[in-house]
Amino acid sequence: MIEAAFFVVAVLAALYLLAPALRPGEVPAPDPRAALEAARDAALRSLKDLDLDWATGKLSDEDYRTQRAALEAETAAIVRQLAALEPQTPEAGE
Amino acid sequence: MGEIGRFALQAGVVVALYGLVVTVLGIRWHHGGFLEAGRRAAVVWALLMALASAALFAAFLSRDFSVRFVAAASESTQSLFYTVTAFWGGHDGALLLWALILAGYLVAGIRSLRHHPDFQAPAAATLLLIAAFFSLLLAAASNPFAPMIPPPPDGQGLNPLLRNPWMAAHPPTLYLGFVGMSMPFAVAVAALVTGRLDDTWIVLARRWVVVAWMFLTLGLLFGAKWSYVVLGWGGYWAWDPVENAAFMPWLTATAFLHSIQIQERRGMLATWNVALVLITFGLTIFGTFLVRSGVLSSIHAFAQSPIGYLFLGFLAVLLVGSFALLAWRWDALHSRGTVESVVSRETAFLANNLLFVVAAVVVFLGTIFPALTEAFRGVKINVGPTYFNMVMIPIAVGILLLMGVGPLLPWRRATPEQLSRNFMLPGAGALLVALVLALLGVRSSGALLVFALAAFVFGTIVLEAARGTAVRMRRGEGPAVALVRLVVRNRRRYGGYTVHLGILLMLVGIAGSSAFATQGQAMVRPGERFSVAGYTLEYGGLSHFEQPGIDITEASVRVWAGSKPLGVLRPQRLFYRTAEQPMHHVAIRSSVREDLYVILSEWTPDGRALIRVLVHPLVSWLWAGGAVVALGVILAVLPETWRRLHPAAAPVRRRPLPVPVGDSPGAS
Repeated sequence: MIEAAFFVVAVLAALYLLAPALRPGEVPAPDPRAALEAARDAALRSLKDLDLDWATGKLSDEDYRTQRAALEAETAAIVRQLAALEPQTPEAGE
Repeated sequence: MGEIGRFALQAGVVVALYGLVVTVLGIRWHHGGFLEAGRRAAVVWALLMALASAALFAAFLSRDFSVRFVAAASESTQSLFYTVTAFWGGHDGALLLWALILAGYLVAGIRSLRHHPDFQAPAAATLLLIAAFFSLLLAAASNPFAPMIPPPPDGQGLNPLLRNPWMAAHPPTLYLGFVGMSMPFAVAVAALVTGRLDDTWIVLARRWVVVAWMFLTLGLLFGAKWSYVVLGWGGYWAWDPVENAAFMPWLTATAFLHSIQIQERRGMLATWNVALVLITFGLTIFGTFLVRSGVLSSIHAFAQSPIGYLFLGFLAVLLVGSFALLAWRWDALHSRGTVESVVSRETAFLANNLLFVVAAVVVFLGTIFPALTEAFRGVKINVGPTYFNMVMIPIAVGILLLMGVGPLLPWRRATPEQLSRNFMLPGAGALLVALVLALLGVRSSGALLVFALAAFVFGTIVLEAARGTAVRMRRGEGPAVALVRLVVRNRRRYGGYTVHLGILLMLVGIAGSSAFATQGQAMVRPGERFSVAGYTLEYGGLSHFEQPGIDITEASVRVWAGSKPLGVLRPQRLFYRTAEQPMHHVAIRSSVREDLYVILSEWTPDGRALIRVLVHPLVSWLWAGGAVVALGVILAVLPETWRRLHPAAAPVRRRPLPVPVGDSPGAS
């Protein structure tokens, strides 16, 4: 009885494993947004950290201004690239 | 149960190899059906490992001594708790536990990469390769369901050394850390295979590394606690090869957690970060080789098996393969930024990385030195704790200093005014602590240095939190609300500070218990008193009794701290009849200030007993530090979706901005 149950389960598992391999399937194209979203998230975190660093006095105004301008430009460029890919960019989480 | 387990393990080999082959072919031929079949194989393999694990649990619970491993690791008088934990009480079961944990990571990891199909397939192939290796080991060389013919009437019982709650928790947590490192390894390999070497792989790997690092930390601590309460020598770390084996990946993973911040923020160290992840996973396999091979003498001799050298072969394959991929992609892993000033956060993090990696190399060399001397000179020469302490203490002091300095430095460069503003108060606090401790009679220069630096680091953390809170309070928030919101809305940063706080507690505990431990012993008759380090102990006599399978001799020791009564401590000696093995059961009275550690060493037929007493200051800080580290990690990795449930607050402002800028997008 146990042997029969093993056999049935093994056949079902084999069918489950082999079925997709027997039919052609599309390989999803790499999503160019993934890298951009990661870069955007990192840039946003950097901006947030920079703001907090400046607010707590770790940065001079001049350094803050320079670094924030550079980070804003970087972030804006990433957001523009994302927007160019698709108007409705899904929200990205880490 | 044995049949079901054997079936599951043998089927696991077929399924893992099938999954590996179809995934590799799917990648090579761009065949989506094959990739789907590979993902299904991962799920089925995980189910098979769960089935095998359930079968082994059932075999233990039903005392099925026809299974050799069950007969070797349990006996009919064994308690339910230790019958369950006997699952990982020998190398065969421990290997199945490893596979079960890998199964969990495999399914969760593949699912976590579902939005990154280019990473998912190569990562799945890497994980399935590891799964296939463990399946082959389990089915062919280390099968926990190997039959025992004829079945004995009773088992040999779990090794008495392992009958302790801390040892019950140590292997699962350590394996969650060890095996957890396979996920970032797989992601890094996927990045190398696909050439996707931007920051995406860092984002995908970071959370796995953080969680695995937390489990590794807890696993190390649980092992240390076991050593402290079970082995009866009063210590918790002996630089044993197997302790070192778990410590090395912890060191390199810690380096990685800091250096990825430099890559994220400054676009530097891309090659270094990939190498650190590959090395960290390699060290987890190397550690398993050390535990299983018996190539080095260790307190973990009970875990040895003939399969150790298979791990060395697997390690060679993994390292050669992954570093060949790294060499292939070397040119693509260029740095986008440079260090602009010596006084900057990136420099502090670089120095921190250097120290962690040097520490890992020091531990590695000290660990394999006996094997090297045996190979070349025919005799094992152990370097011993003297070598490790001599080299590691200065490194630890350097890391402690950088733990305070790094977070208060800005990226890119710091001005003298900022340095003065940020470090004046913590520096003064450190000097004050050193002065007060010196006036109180502390004469150990090493301990004074560690306590002063700990005060410095603590001061920097408090200052950082106080300034952030003050900024929010200017927007009208109360102090408590401001602090909570500051932490919750900058979880990654304050989670990191919380982890630092935990490490700080641990280092203070280690320094205090190492520098100021005192001990004494006395052969006493019932009613006699003796004193050790301000404690008075009165020996009340011995009692003998039995528990199933165990003969117990217990001493009654009444204790006073000065004139204050602290109650009665009852150190025991246990004798496990089946294993014919004696064990200590140390009596410990723990407080924030110190541990009183009482051991029943020996006794005479006329009722006299040799009582050994150790006093370890601050040792409870070490264990508390572990809890704080876990809290910090949980804080740092709480999912972003949780953040989105709460409306974002406006960005904080110290004063009007020097140039008109918009709100930080995404700031919360």
